[in-house]
Amino acid sequence: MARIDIERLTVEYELAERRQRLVALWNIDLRIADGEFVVMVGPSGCGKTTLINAIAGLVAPAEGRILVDDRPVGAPGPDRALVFQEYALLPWRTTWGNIRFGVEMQRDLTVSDDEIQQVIDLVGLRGFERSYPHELSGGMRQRVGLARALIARPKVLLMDEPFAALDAMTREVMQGELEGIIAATRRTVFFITHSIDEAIALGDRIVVATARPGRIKEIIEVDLPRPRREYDVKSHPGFARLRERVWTLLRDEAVVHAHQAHADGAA
Amino acid sequence: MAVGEEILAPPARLPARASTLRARRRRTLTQVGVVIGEVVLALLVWEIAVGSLRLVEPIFFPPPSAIGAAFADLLSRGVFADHIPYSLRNFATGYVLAAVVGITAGLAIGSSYALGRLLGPVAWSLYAMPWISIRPATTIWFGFGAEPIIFLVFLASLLPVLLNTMSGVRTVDPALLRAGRVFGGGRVQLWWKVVLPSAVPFVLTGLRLAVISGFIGLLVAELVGSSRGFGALVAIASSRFRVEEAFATIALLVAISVTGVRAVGLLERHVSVWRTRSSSA
Amino acid sequence: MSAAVPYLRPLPTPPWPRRVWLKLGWNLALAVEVVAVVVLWELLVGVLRLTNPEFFPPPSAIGSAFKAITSSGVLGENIAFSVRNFVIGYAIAAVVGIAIGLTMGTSPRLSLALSPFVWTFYSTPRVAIAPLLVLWLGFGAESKIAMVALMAVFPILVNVMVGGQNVDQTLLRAGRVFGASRLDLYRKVVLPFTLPYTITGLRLGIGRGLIGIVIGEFIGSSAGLGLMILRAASQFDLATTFAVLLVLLVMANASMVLLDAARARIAPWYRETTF
Repeated sequence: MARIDIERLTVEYELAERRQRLVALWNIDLRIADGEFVVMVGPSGCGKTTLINAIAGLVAPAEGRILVDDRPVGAPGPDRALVFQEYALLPWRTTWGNIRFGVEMQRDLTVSDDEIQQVIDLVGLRGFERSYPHELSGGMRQRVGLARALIARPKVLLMDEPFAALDAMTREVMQGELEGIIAATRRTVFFITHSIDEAIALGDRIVVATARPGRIKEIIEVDLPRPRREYDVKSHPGFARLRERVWTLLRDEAVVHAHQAHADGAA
Repeated sequence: MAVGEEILAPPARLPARASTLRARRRRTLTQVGVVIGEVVLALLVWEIAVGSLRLVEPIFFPPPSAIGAAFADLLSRGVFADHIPYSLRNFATGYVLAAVVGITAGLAIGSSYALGRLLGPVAWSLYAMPWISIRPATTIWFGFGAEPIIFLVFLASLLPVLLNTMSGVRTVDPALLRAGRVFGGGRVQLWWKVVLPSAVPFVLTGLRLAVISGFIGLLVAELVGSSRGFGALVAIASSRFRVEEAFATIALLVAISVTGVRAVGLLERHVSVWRTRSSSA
Repeated sequence: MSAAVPYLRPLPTPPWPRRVWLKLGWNLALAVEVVAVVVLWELLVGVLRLTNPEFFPPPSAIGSAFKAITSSGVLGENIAFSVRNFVIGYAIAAVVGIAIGLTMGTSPRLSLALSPFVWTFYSTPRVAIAPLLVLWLGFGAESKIAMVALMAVFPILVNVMVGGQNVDQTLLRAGRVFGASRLDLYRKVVLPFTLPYTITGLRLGIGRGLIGIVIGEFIGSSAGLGLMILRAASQFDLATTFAVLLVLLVMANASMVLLDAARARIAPWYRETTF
């Protein structure tokens, strides 16, 4: 578990063919407390994935910095583990092998078989240790992805729209399970999504982002009681209020984004 | 699709309708029956047309009976036993050499951007060329023994392996690379654990295609200026107007090449079970 | 309402050496590479004589041999012979291959009926038939045309067939629902859909067809590039052999380029997943 401090972060991408620099994130200031579950919502292109990549250490900021537990973020490593939208499992490895993969990338890290089995039980994959990804359903594959991230006991869990590829019902089931797993392991989580419902159901706080260049429009506290998987959170009166608030903020940004996409396409 | 991939489609099936296992089995039996029936019918027609009715001069196009007799004759006289191991040995040597060189070079060129830009286009333009045309020169270089044959098999098999290996190294799912990098993997780690395993199905495809090309190389090498081997048998038999012998040898060739290609194909499918279902959503 | 904020900034233009590299970059490197190889080859074999130039002629010798066969018109005649036969054979293979392939691809019954024959011929290493073709058709153009046609037809046929089998059934159904005739369906749905497969088949066909023309001319021919190679080699004239080989290399690549250009005009929407 760790604190994340993001200070005046600006990230730019070079578009060589068009001889231009694209500002993906601009002047982001965000503090995530120890053990907090923060969700970022915004239109496509608002820089959500860029922010996750920056925290993970995959892209370097043009300005500003990111601190995890007061130390600047460096090269990527299993201390900031990422769960992918497209699972990104090695198709030639079994569940067991895939879970070990993240830790293998760091040569000085080892995990015992017991630890692997524990995390398999935790994500609910007991019995599927020797299955290959193509034998698993989407939800199960994502559990493997989650297990892979958790096995290294990361300080921060980064989740890049992990449930976007799942059907609606599996998605809700996974949201509930995720809450349970996080409660059991108490990690700091930074989660990005398109779905306002998902953000409210999962997050302690919601960061609403603007259209490109991504800035923070507003941060909203989610005061719905936990554990949320034990009741139908969507029927809670507070849910609708929060939803309306977030949607009002996002609606304008979505329009701006649509215009941008059109202009980009014409360029 | 792979480089130079000829889609080896299996015989077509009648359109699938919702069915029970028994209905499906019946349909497969019907298909097999039709195929066998047709083959038998074709052979019969051939036999009657040429053997009995003499619609075509049997000297030019012998009936199946004559071919069968020639086959038995060649077999019993030990002619096949003389030539087949020779051919197969030369093929194996050239093929294995091509596989080793092709995979190594393919891995190197595919992994390096610079090499890929510099050598890739060269490999591609060489691929279009019919390499068998170098055969007469090989006699000057290597003489009349097995060496020119091995060399030609090597040349013919090399490029499919090389190009497909290159392609395999380049066609790694970027999501997997991202996953590796996110967990802190360095370039070497990523190469060993993500790129290489990912390229295996492509390498196997290249090896399968190389069997076909290599076999063509073998035959051409033996047809022109060799006294031993399948191709030589066909050439010599033709020059002596013993067309049935030529056909018999060709029939044997068919059997061997089909077996070889099927074998590699099976191996490929076995290893690539996971290939069609990707890592991702 | 959040106004749109500009998010693109111009990049500084790099100094001119880098600009040149970015534009021409690797193509320039390729050209340099080819020239370097030729120069090195000339040095090692022609000047330093590291290997016997009889065995492996230097570019200068190949160049003079090339000049000799061009000026005497020998090359021209033989190219004409080979190319003519190749084109005719290939055209036959394309027509037959596409016709049968489409028929088999779209009609499962016909496909079942014809497949044993197709597969037998497909499995036969057709190069082995070359001596028989010369036996039956003689040393002239006919056996070469037949060889090219035989070698090229099967890649085309098989690929077109699979393309036909893969045609989206819903597209066909949609067409029929709107009252399209059989011919219409073929022209407007099946043909465009199978185009990528056809092109793959055609490309493979060129490669196989070239093999056919060469082997045909090796086994028994009155003229042609293959015969030129055979004759030159029998006279230990490797320089001429290499010159003709180079011509073949250029021809092979030229055919591919032509095919790609034709495809770009006929089917610009198709983006080949090449490597």
